[in-house]
Amino acid sequence: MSDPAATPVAAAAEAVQVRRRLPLWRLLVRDRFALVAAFWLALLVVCMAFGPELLGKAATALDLRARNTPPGSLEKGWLAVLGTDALGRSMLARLVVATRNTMAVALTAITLALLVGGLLGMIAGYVGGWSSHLIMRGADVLQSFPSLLLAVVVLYVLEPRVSNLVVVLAVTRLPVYVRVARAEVLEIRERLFVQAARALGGGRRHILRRHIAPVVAPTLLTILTVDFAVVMLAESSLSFLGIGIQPPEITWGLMVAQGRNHLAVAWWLSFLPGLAIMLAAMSANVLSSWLRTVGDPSQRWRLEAPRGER
Amino acid sequence: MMRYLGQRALHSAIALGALVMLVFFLVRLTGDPASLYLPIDASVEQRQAFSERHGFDRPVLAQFASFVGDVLRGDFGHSIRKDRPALEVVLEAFPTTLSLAVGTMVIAVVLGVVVGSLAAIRPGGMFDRMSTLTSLGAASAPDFWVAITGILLFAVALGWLPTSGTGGWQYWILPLAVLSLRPFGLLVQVVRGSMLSALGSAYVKTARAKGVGEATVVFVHALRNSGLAVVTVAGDQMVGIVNGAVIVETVFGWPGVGKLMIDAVIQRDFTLVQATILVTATAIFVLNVVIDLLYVLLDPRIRHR
Amino acid sequence: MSEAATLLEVRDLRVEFRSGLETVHAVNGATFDVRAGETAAILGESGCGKSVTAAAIMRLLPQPPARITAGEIRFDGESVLTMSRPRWRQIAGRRIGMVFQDALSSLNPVFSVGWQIAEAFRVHGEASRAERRRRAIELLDRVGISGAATRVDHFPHQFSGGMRQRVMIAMAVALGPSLLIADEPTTALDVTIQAQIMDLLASLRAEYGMAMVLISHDLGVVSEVADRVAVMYAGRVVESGPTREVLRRPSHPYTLALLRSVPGGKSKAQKLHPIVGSPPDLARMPVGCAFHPRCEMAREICTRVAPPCTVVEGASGATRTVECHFAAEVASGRVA
Repeated sequence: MSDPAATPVAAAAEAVQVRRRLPLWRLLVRDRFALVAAFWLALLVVCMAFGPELLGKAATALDLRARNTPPGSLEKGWLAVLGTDALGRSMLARLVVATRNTMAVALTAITLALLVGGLLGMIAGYVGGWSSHLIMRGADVLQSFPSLLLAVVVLYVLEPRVSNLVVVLAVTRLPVYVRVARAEVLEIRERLFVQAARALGGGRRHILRRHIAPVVAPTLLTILTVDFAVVMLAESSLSFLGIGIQPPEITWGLMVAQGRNHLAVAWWLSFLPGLAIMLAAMSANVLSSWLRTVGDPSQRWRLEAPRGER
Repeated sequence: MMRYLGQRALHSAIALGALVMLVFFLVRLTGDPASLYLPIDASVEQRQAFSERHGFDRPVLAQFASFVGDVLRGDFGHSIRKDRPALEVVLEAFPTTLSLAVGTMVIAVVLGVVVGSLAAIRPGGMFDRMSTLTSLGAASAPDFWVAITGILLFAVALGWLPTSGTGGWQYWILPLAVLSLRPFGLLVQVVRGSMLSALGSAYVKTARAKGVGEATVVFVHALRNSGLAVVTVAGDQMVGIVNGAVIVETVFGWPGVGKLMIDAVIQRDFTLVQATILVTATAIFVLNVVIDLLYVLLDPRIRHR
Repeated sequence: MSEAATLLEVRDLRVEFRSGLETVHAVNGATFDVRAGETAAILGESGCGKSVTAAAIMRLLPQPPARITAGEIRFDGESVLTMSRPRWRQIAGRRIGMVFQDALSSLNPVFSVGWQIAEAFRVHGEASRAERRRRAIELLDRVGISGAATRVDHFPHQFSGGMRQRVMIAMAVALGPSLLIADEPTTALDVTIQAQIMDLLASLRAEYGMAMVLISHDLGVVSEVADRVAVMYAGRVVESGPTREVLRRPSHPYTLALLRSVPGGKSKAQKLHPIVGSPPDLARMPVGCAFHPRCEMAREICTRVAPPCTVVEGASGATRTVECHFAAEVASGRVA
């Protein structure tokens, strides 16, 4: 009875089928906030990679004649442009050097959480049954565990080494990935292409790896960018409380804690590393909100629309 | 509906029970309290006597069994450090944390919902861009840093507010401001997102076709559908604060459960750790039930499941 | 019937959706009339712009990304596109009702159906609270929902697909509008229920003396209920006129092709002829007649010149409009 070419589609989707899409980098250029955020994160990655080698010496060089130099002047050399600390060490150099610990801890922790949590979640979603129950109740327990308490206990039982810190941070983020991966898999596995793969005799492991994982991955990666900010803030809090990374290693959080004692005479000692944390976390958040817009078909056009018409 | 609520409550109870158990065993791995509470040159006999008095000499499982038995009889044990019933100590600190949590959530939810909805009305507009930047900044700011910067600025430099401690309303401003920052930022983002999708939905078209005004479309039709997202995020954040707003309690010198718990761990005051975790776990259990009730109230689809 | 006053006029309506790389021309100069009390159908494949046209009439197009670049829509002599928002709100819901395709997503999931029907009265300042509820129950009963007095407090997810569409219809006709726009009202439903819903719409239309714009891709439904039909292709009305005339002696190759592609249509026990090719890319419209790439009788002129709108005299004297260079040939059946 009906027109063979016609399928019921929603009114809006009928017209807004944009098949030719702008490449991702052009969408990034169109969103000024996201572009700045991406640049900032790229700069931080460079600092993480080369900072300690380039400025490691400068970060530890004492200069007792230039103690507590306020930021904003080049009189005492370009290294003192962001001021110096109570021992005359360059803030700029210290901030750059601390980038490695701060970023590496956060990146390792979220990658670990993503891999382990994603895998557990996919198993829970695809296999179901008692293993699903076990995994999900485990996630419940972890989620209700006050993360700071967990950190304090673990870092007291074991010693506050960087690797332990990374594991603790990863464990606290695990439940999010488990839940999201499971929810996605539950939906995907009913979709046609998975059913087809199963009908063709694909094994569980094969289907999970070749058909389901590629679809779940983008969602998890979007969460990863938010989590980068969350974990970096958590690490900073722990370091600030003195149960995270221990001196002589430095992170931004630790620098805020150390500067706190000199707050009245040298505000920049706490303020600048805190600002660094905030800018890095904010860049990750901006980028993740951009990613969400790009990934949402009903919102993507806002980035594609010509300027001035959004 | 009752089955749904029952199942949710059961899951929550299992998780919190497991949590209490985990804490009980984990905390015993932190070391021997005797070495903290007795002088360094204490004799072996003295140490033994100390352990016996507090029951630490018995096997861990036996300790756990008697702990559970005691708790069921309403006995939460005796704090070594404070030399008082542990429950008493916890219940003294709990109202502080609870009032911080409630105050924070009221501020964050009201502001977050208003700003997030207004931003969604004109996506890409001036207000939207400003509020997006502000909320992302709020969600990204390290609370300890905001706290000490706030003290430096408003208490030390300007002298408008007290640096720390508890007392009149002035003492509430900085802690509440610092605590509400992140929930506010997250809520603006979440509300904006769910409002955007609600405003583009078919049922909003229906409402507009009926002649419903924009204000009602936004604040009744769309916002009501964003309720679930708000409750989810707000509940999550509130659980976090009830668990202890350690940073704020530390920096502002507020005697809440977060600081109490961390101190108790560091001082190996095992009974106090257990009592604290039991009380907060119970509070969170109640909170979870309230959140589930709100879900049911907000979404008739859950109600009829 | 041709004496009745024109209620809705759509003139040269153009709607486009813009994105970074391209502009999708969803509606490209659609023109048609709806007279008071009649049922007019807009027929076409998905993507032909019929739903966008309906959304434009109801001022429901999200702008941006949509833009109405030209044209006029007049309801009862007033320009819909330029009237003030308060004035439009007096018309939407009260004088024009709309039924959407997918009732599940078109009803707000968190409010009871009674609340949503009563809201129609409330926004137009009608009746007291108790009175609104009574009338909501009455309406539910009228559209064939049994136990309306208890069902009024139920939520959309507690109804079946057909029942939800009945609720939608009750809401649309609540204030006795003079025009009802039904956008694919039965597409999402089972075939048996489709007929019931169409019957309900037809009886309500007669009862209230409403005009109805039925947007559909279903030839069968259109031929049964529509007094007049406008066939849309690539955002233009390519042929319009009395339904019987148009379907019995189509004078546009697209209408003919549509008829031949369904069983029981023009094919007379022959095998079906699906329309070859696919609808044009609305971002890159072909030059000349938009249908020429798929048209069996396209000639050189069709690839260059867009066909003008010509008036064809039908057998019964009724006129219809066609946009084809060779309308007369198609109508006389001198085609392959």
